[in-house]
Amino acid sequence: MYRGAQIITEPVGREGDLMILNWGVQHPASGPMRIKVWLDGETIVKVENDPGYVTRNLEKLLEYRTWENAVVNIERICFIDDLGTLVNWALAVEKLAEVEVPKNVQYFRVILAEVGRIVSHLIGIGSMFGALGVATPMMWVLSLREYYLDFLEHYSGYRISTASIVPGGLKYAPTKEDFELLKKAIEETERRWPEYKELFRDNPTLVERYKGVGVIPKELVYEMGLRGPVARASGVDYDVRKRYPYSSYEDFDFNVVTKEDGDAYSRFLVVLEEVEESVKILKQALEGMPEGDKWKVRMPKKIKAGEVYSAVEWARGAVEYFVVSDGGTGPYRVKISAPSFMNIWVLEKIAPGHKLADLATIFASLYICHGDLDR
Amino acid sequence: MLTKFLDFFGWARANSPWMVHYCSGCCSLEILALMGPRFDWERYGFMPVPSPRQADFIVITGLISRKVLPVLLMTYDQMPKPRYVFAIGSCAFDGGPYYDSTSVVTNVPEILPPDVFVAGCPPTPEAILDGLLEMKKIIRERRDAKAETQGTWREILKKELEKNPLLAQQPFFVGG
Amino acid sequence: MGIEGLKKLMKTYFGVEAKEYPHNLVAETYLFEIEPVHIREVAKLLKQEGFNFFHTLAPVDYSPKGRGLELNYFFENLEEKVWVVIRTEIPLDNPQIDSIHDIYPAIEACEREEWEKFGINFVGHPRLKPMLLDDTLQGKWVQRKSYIPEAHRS
Repeated sequence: MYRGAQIITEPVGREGDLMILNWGVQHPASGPMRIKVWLDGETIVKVENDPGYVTRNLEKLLEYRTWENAVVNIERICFIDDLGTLVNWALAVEKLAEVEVPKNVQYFRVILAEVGRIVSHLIGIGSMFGALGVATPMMWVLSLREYYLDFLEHYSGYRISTASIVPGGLKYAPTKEDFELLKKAIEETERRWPEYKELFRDNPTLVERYKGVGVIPKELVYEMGLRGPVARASGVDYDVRKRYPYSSYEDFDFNVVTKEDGDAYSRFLVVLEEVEESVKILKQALEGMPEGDKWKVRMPKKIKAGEVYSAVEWARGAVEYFVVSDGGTGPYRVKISAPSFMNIWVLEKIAPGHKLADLATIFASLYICHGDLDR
Repeated sequence: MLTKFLDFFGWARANSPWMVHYCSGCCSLEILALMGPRFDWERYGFMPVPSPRQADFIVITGLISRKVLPVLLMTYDQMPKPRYVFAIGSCAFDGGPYYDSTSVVTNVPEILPPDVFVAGCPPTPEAILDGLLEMKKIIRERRDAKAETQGTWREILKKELEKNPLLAQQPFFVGG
Repeated sequence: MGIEGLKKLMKTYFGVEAKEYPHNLVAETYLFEIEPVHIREVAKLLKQEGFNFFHTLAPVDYSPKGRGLELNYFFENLEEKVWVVIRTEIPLDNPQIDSIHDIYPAIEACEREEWEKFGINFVGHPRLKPMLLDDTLQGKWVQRKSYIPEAHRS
């Protein structure tokens, strides 16, 4: 389970023997995950992922939950952005029960999902710097993130596990103060963003370490089924929000950020620029918020037998559920297809040939959350 | 005289408790917020360090899956004494929202009893900070960590080490 | 090329009609119910017709309902924005199907996960070894309906 460094006896070239190095589980840049690295000197020869250190078997647990109760486990797929997964669950169950939610609920879900995306992307930017050992940008993004968490805390009572989106609508009706707090967060973002952007995107330390590292060609995106910012950084404009609009995303004007190079720096830029697009959506949603004070529609306790496949664009890419109902009070089977699980395997393809020090930057740029990698 | 001398060490330790940079669950996000500018735990001297060899305390950040348990115990085992355990989140108490999952350890306090436990799913940074200040007191008074005398973690770790003879031979791994 | 070509080829080669699949919230989708022995040929056809993006593999254990193990493969044609579901059923007492990891490399990890959780033997898969679950749960096939977590055993 936890093996020390081992020596392989076959000599390789002049450099000497290959060494297997455990990168993780307790490593500041890896998170709870082990990456087995075969090294020839400093050069990576082979990489093998060993995930599973935060496995909870959510798919099995959900079979013992009711439709609404499942929210608790669904949002814990990944805490960094719990709102996107909740939107997907709500959409899937509403489709099964053939319930339509009013327009104002859809708009507020968009607001929550985009707040979740911003909160997640800010941490992503911070941890991409963190992989270099640069701590200041992390502090900057964390201080900005708190404004959005203030909004979530005022709205739902909790900072990161809001449980606010349930099948059939919203758990809580938003108040005037909630919107004020959100406006304040947006103002603060717009005030700080030019400075942040200047520091982040032209940061010489980052450019030096990220440019040209870990290139993912476009073909590999199709081959490995990559999703989210990782796919978009390689020039694949796959964004579920734009491609197959859900929850009134068709009403909003925003761009899908794509880059052509496919290296770690492009992935960083995609994440950075998506924050701006999310702020754009937030402003439009606040302006065009439809009238209405009905925030929850009545949902049946039992949902008739059937199945549904739903997908939303989450912070890390498309998160997809396959839900089967057998007419009971809870799901018969839920398959969660998570973006990090699809994206992590590309590491085995792109890491060989790089130096060991680049592994941290490539790993950080893949923007993995261990929660949805292991589920 | 000696007590005074040791008290000085307690005082010094209590003012710069270092945490192993190790996370096993989602509550680590709130620890991250605690590191940030708003809650700023460094004003109390707290700091994350990458190596367990330099650390004073370990944080059980919520969820402990069965696969990560040996890693947690091994990390704790590598820390120099005095070493303290700080647990946050309901998962670290009884499994919390995953109480019925078979891949989650639901009796963490029996294995590695924490000195301070903060409830919540996840607890707010304010609550965690309050708990950390409580732990500062324990360090300052030079109280023994609970895990030194209680808990079944040594047996579990030994069993784990026996699986791999390479590790069991190394003297510094044998549950000190 | 595309879904029309696929429909024709599936009809001529395997005698399988395309069915409408209205349960996909996202996009226009067609369902093909095939025999498990044909999975490799079907995967090659899909690749040839431009369904180059693999989404997910979702097995469902229908043994309490008196059926076997249903496998759903989701593919997408990125140009046409059309999805395809390949559905097949294998018996639970001998769950065995050919691996298609060499045709769709993205499926390798998914097949490995489903082997670990359902005990489906993907013939030809290069590394069917433990991934997510710890050693004590290996071989218990935790996602099957016959496995009940301890907290729910009465």
